Amino acid sequence: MYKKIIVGLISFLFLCGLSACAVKKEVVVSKLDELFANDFRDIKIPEIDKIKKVGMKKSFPYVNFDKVWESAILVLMQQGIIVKASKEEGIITAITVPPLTVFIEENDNIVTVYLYWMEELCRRIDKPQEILIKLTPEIKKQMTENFFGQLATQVYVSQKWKYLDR
Amino acid sequence: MRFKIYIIILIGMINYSLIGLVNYSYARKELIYEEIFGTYRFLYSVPNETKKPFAAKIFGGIIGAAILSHAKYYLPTSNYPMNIVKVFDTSYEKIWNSILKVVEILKGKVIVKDKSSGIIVFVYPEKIKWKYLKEYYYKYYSEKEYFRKWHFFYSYPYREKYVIIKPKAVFNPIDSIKFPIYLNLYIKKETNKTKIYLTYFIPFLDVPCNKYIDIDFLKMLENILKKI
Repeated sequence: MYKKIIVGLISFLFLCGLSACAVKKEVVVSKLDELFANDFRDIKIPEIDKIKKVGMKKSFPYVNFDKVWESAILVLMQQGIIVKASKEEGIITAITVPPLTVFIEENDNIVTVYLYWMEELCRRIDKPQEILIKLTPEIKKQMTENFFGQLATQVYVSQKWKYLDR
Repeated sequence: MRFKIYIIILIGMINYSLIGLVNYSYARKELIYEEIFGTYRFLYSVPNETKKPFAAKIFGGIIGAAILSHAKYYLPTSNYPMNIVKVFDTSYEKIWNSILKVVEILKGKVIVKDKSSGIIVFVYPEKIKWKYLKEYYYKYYSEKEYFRKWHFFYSYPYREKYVIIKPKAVFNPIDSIKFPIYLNLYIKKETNKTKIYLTYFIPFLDVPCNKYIDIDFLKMLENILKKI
């Protein structure tokens, strides 16, 4: 009886040991992981022409560039890490889910904001054809509308709700 | 005689297991650090659990594998995770220089620094005591859910698919872990005043532990401002 218990115990411990040793972690690394590793030094911002061509846009009348710029900063800094911001170029890149780049320009007193989702950063390095975060056109549209909605609220907040300090 | 041999083997196995456990606890600490600061520290690093051997699935690699296999890093999805606005009766220049000093003291790495637009983004390692994380879970999850999260370690094959790192943080036996914290700062010049907007992110942990982190940052900033 004792022997059986002991043999059972030994085999149990042996199996535990084996199973603990046998676990191997497979790690999926994306371009974004690499960027995190080098503190975003190598981040490549898409060209403005590409952002304007591929990205989605929304115009903001009755406000100036500075107001939209500030609002975009305030909205994006609450959604992710800002890794690029240049007021002169009108570009902000933020690491959200997925990362995005915003281009702001002013023409004829109308400020237009272009939004470009940087899905390419979510590609696996070992299998570039595989994207870790796939966005369907519907989801992308919804996310874009959400962003522009938040931006519009932030842009017009001081005019709509004057008692708010922010 | 044979019985004695069995006893010796058993003692040996127990010893081996104990040594393994001690080593494991150290190794796990290292692994956590590796995950945070090493090659696969952040987003979307999802270990493929289907490739694990069956034995590992049953015994779960003794908790550790269960925890580590479910590590998935992601940014908080909340639209407004943190929004701190602080107004200082100090000049923009002073605030800007003081923030840079704080970054230096914290040994932070600057990611974005644009004085004309008033933006500084930097990252620095900060310790968060796990008891705070525990408090967070008590606060944001029902007792039942908390129990379920706790319980799944003991019923590993039947657990639900948790794709978050939370259990690891909650059940971490180490007193505190250093997390890299990203701080977004927007400094706005106003007449006789300077406004600071502050948000921060811990990319793989959606814990709004603002009261443990950013207030320290602001305190440091206030102290430096007093000295100048």
